[in-house]
Amino acid sequence: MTRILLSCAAVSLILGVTVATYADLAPPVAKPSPAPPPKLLLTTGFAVVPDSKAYSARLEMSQESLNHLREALASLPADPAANVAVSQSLVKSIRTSSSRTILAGLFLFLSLSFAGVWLARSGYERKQKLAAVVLIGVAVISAAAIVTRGNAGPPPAYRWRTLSKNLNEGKTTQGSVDIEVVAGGSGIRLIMPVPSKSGTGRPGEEE
Amino acid sequence: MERTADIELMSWRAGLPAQRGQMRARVFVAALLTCALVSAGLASLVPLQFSIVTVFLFAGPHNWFELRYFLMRLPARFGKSRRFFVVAFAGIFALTLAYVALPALYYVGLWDGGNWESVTGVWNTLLVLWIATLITLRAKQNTRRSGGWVWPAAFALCSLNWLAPQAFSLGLVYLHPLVALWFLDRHLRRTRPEWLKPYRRSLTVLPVLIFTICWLLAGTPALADDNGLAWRITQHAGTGILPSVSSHLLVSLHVFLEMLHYGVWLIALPLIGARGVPWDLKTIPLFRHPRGFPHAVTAVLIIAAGLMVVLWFGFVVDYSATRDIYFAVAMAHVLAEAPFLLRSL
Repeated sequence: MTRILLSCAAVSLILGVTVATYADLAPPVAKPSPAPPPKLLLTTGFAVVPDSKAYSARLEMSQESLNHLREALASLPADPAANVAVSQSLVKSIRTSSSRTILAGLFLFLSLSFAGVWLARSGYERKQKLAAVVLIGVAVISAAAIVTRGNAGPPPAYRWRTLSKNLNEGKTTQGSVDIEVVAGGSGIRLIMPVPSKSGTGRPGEEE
Repeated sequence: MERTADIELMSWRAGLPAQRGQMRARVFVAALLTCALVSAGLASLVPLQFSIVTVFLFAGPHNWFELRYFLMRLPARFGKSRRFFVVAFAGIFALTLAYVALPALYYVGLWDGGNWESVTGVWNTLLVLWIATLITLRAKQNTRRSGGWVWPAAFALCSLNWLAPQAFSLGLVYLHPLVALWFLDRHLRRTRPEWLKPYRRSLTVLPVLIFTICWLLAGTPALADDNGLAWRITQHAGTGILPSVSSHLLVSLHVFLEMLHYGVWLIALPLIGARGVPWDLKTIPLFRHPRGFPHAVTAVLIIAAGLMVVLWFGFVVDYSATRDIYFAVAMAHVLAEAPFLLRSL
């Protein structure tokens, strides 16, 4: 009898400890999935027009832009999650191995090859040397353009640097806008690049 | 004493033609600069209106004068240049046909235009390769010139084209008017070499004018392209490809360059090379040569004049549609400039 009582007490203790210990275990926390990156649909011209006579805010779009937007929207799959995944790989594939980039690289290869053969076959005359240097220079610049995907020139934010001033003065500001589809949120948001007050904004955004 | 006076008089008389030549060269350069300044001013102030008026007035006539100039430069017999001209005319025909067919297929619904950028890239590549072939053929005829640089340069251009086909096409739109200045340069070298140096010096004003237009109009608001015609003009100037750049700047720059092009073909070249009135066809070798084609030359120029009148009539009836059709078909004259410029080099 004593044995039975002791056994029951031991089992109860073990169970109690187990339950208490189990309660102290942190429940498995589901890792928040990283926010999917937005998908770039279209880049088009955009003008912010202050109008003192306007009754409500309006978003006007040309028929041409609407057609472009329709075409871009038609390429989107119905499932937003799949869309983001597909768009990610699509953008990556375009950046790394689009047919256009391949053709650009192929022609650049041909250009360098022909320039090399021409230089080797020519008698290294002064004019030909100069022309070869120019050609190789152009090829190097082209290669740099391929690598940077033509990011030279003022950034898109440059055109918006005077937005605040123009809004105060009732003037129109024109620049380019990227239309993106984001996974979360509701409605439409307009994010404008403005120079930071501390003056530490990105280059090209400062006045 | 009398002999001394005669000698002085003779040297003074001998200096007269040179002085007159210098004076004429100065007048020519002054007229050129005045035209450029007036064009730049009007193109900057009223770009849309100036574009509409200039295309209406000068688009047809400048094509007629260009055709006449090309006929004048065409030899009566091709001889050793036969292959060059066969490639040139085949290229002009095929590339123009493709250029006109693409929008036509799009508008009749046979092509959705989905891969427009790739198609543009292919057309630009064919254009570059065609010009490279012509330069190679021309270099083979002229032993003084080496054509070894042509293919490396052509492939480098093709590479740039495939990075941004639309931007490459826009570059052609802006560069084409400047080809007329090159024609004028070659023409002066052949007919009035003493004018060449002042002319080349005067060309240094062009980058200044272009920079000034860009500087003054960079911050201007976009042009109101709320009607179909204004929208077409801004799109032709590249607003769709360069949305960050003011459409006022793009249209002004494009119209200014177009005016230079019209000025060279309608005023400078006919006046400098004038050996009679434009309708005097005896200056055309293909017309006056015993084995030439006088009837064909006459017929071509009469048909061209008729098309010019039809173009004006079209502009009056429906300016926008006629402008679209004109700029598609006018690709033929843009392409024709390449072989004839190469022949003059």
